[in-house]
This record gives sequence, C-alpha cells and structure tokens, in this order.
Amino acid sequence: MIPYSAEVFFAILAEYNSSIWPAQAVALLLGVTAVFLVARFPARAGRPVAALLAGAWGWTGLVYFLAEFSEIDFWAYGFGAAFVLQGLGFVWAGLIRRRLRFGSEPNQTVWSGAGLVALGLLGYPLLVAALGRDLLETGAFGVAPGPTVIFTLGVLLAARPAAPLYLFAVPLIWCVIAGGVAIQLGIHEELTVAAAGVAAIIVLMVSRARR
Amino acid sequence: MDRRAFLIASAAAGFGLGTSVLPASALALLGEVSREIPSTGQRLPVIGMGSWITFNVGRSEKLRRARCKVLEEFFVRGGGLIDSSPMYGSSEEVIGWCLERQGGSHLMLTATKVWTVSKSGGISQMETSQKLWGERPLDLIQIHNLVDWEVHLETLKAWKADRRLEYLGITTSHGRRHDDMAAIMAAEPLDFVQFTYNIADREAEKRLLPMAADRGQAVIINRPFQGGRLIDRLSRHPLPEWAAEIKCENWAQVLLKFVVSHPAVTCAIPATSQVEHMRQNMAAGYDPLPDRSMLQRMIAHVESL
Repeated sequence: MIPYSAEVFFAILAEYNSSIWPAQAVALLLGVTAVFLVARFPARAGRPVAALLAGAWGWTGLVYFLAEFSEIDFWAYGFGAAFVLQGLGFVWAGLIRRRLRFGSEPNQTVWSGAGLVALGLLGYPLLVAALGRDLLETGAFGVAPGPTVIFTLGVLLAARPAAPLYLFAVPLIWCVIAGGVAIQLGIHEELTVAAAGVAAIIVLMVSRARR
Repeated sequence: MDRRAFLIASAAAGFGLGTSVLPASALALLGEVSREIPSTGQRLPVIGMGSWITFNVGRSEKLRRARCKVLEEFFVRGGGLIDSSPMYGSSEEVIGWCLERQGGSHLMLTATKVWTVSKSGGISQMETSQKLWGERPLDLIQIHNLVDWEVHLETLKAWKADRRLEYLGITTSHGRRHDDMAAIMAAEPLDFVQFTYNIADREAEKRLLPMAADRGQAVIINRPFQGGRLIDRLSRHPLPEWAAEIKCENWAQVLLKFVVSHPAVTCAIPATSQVEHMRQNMAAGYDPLPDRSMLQRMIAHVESL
C-alpha cells in the first residue's frame, strides 16, 4: 500500500537531490575513500568505514525519510526510524565493539562484497542513466536508501571475520520493500536492490556453509 | 469542448454565473443525478472525488497546478463531495492549496477522516485537517477504517452538537470489517458510512447497503474501480454494444454507473490525476442510469470476461 505514484516519487526525489547537492558528491568521495582504505589499509579500515556507514544510514533516515518523504508517505516514519537504528548499529558494532574488520587476503565472499560495493557506488546511478532517466531522479550512495543498502551489504560481506548477522537485518528487509516498490510503481532500478539482497543471502549462506 | 461542457457553460452564462457556481437545479436539468443525504435532505451529485494517491504530490508546484486543473474540471462538471484523509500524505494540503486558488463551488461537500488513536490525538489531527483544507469548516469527518472509533465518535458527536461540523461517519475499505461496520451502523446515529462496492465486489449488497437505507445513512462508495485493477482488466476487452444504451463511452463510465445505480448509494468517489479521466468519470453521473435488467446484463457480461 504505497500512498503515492511513480510520477510523484521522481518529482520529490529530484527536488530532494537539488536541495542537498553537493552532499551526493561528498558521499561518493567518502565511499571511494572507504574502498581505498579497505583495500590499502584493511587492518585500520574498520572504524572509519563503520563511521561512514553510520553517517550514511543516519542521514538517509533523518533527512531522506523523516524530513523529505514523510510528507507524502506515512511509512517514512517507520523507515526513518529503522535506518537511524541501523546507523546506531554501526556505531555500536563498528566504533564501540570493533566488530567490523577487514582482512588482507580476499576470498570469493569478499570479492562478491566488492562487487556489491561497486554496484552501490557507481553501478546503480549508471544503470539509471542507461534507463534514460535524469540523474536528479535517482538515489545516490549515502543519501538515499537503494544504493546505500547495496553498498552496505557489500561491505558486510567483505568483512573478515564475518560481520555480526544483526547488521544484515535492516538492509535485507529494505531489499524486500524495494522489490515491492519496484513492482507496484514500475521503478525498475529498485529491482537491483532486491536482486542485491538475494545475492547477499546466497553468498552469506554459501560462506557460512563452507566454514 | 464537448456537448455537455458546452451546455453547462451555456447554462452558467445564462444564469450570469461561472460554471463552478451553476445552481444544482440547472445541473439537474442537464441530467446530473443527485441523491439526498437522509439526515438533512441536502442533495449531493452521485459522482464525488477521492484523493488517495492522486492528490498526494507533496510540495511540487508543477504537480499541484496539474491537480488544480483536475479539481477545476470536477467543479465545472457539477462535482460535489471531495474525500480525503490524513493517511493520504499531502492530499489534504494540496486540495486546500487548490481551493484557496480557485475557490470551490456551492455544491461542494468537504469530507476528511480521523486516522489515529486517542482523544487528544484525534482532536489534534482534525484541527490540523481543518487548517489544511482552508477557512470553510469541514462538512463531514469520518472515522478512518474504524481506528479507535469509540473514542473518536464521542468527539465527533460533541463537535456536531457544537456545529463545528455538519456530518459524521465511519469508513472501511477492501471489504474488511463488515461485521463491525454493521454493528456500529445499527447502534450509532451516523450521517454517512463509506465502504467498498463495485461490479466485481458486491458483498455490500447483502447487508451494508440495505442497512444504510433502512437506517437513513448516506453511503459513500470507495474503490469503484478496485484501485484501477478493474479498469486494467476490462480495458483489454471491447466495450459491449449495450454500453451505448446507458450512454457509456468507456469502461470507467460502465463501472461508475453500475455503482451509483444502486438506490442506497449516495455517491461514489473515484480518484484520478488526469483531467480527461475526471471528465469521463463525471459524465457517469448523468442520466440515464441502468435499470434492473441492464444491471443483470452488466454483471453477466463482466463475469463472462
């Protein structure tokens, strides 16, 4: 039960993107920096990456959902709270407990994670551009849910030792929601988010079965 | 401009009025069907306007102006009841924004809902709705999906006694909670009830519609197109020849004429964001309506598809 149309979703997304620019560019730069840190200094990357994810989820919860989309969508209050909670999860697990760590010898799971990270940072907006839509009408990593969720699932899969399972909960639930939105409103790029969720579950299950 | 619009405009000019203030008597002469609200005798055109999804456009001025055109068409064609809810995001605010710019019409009946829990929460929400709709007092407030209905009904009764509103009512949709609806309809002094009824979902014929007629409660019908699914399904088939006998040019009009032909129905509230669709919907509110044998043909045909 989505209380708005695709036309309205894209109009509001375009207004949101215009109003927060250049936050998208800053988030992209920070995302690329996080990838560089994990690749170059894996032993020291855990806390900065957790801080980045905490900020990305917090921003998306507070600004995207609560400040922007709550005007047209009563679900946005719940989504916003869940995203803020996930951000706090990264503060707890990554900054306080130091449970988000990375290794220097990547295996297949890590490479799968890297693929999702690339999809969240660059693949998602490029796909939208390929669909012929204005980039103002798409979400960007760190400031909108879709690419932030894909990027996060990639980071969690790339973590060594394995990231706490509770950090997967909200991102995977969002993948289900995104799939529903994609089908009901015909927003095809959101199917990427649902597909990323399915891929993450498969990789996670294979990875745990191998242990 | 089609024939009906020309006639409406001509009649309005004859009265020295803008089309949106054309008297109900003149619209009746043009064939517009209206029904009486039992508790007051006020007449209401049988086609109203819903706003679920369609008027929830946020702050976008471009989209708001487009919705104003839809509302303008509604009034020009003799529209009456406008229905919304705090659940519908920015719909109430957008309707208020449009009304502020273009005015309403003397036929207009403003209807919203209370959709929250607790007495104070309900009062706060209804006061917010009042501000969003504009200066004119809201005519009808309904308890949305029966949420915390005992509490809100007491508030609505008090507001009605204080003349802060004209009518009170309850709603449900998708065929849910008919037992609860029937129990409240039997026990409480409701002016309006709102529920789902369409050619594919006729459960309301068994109990709620006859009961509303017996109790003198006006009936608003939501989801006459099943949220668009019926139109999508039927549009794959050609319009039957008998549609011309009831002056229907498309499936939307067939579906609406089916709904409003039930004598217990006061009005149906299709929602649209398109001016052309509003024009089509409003045309369904004019004579002729299907008689009993035609209704049977309509049901049989749709069931055969």
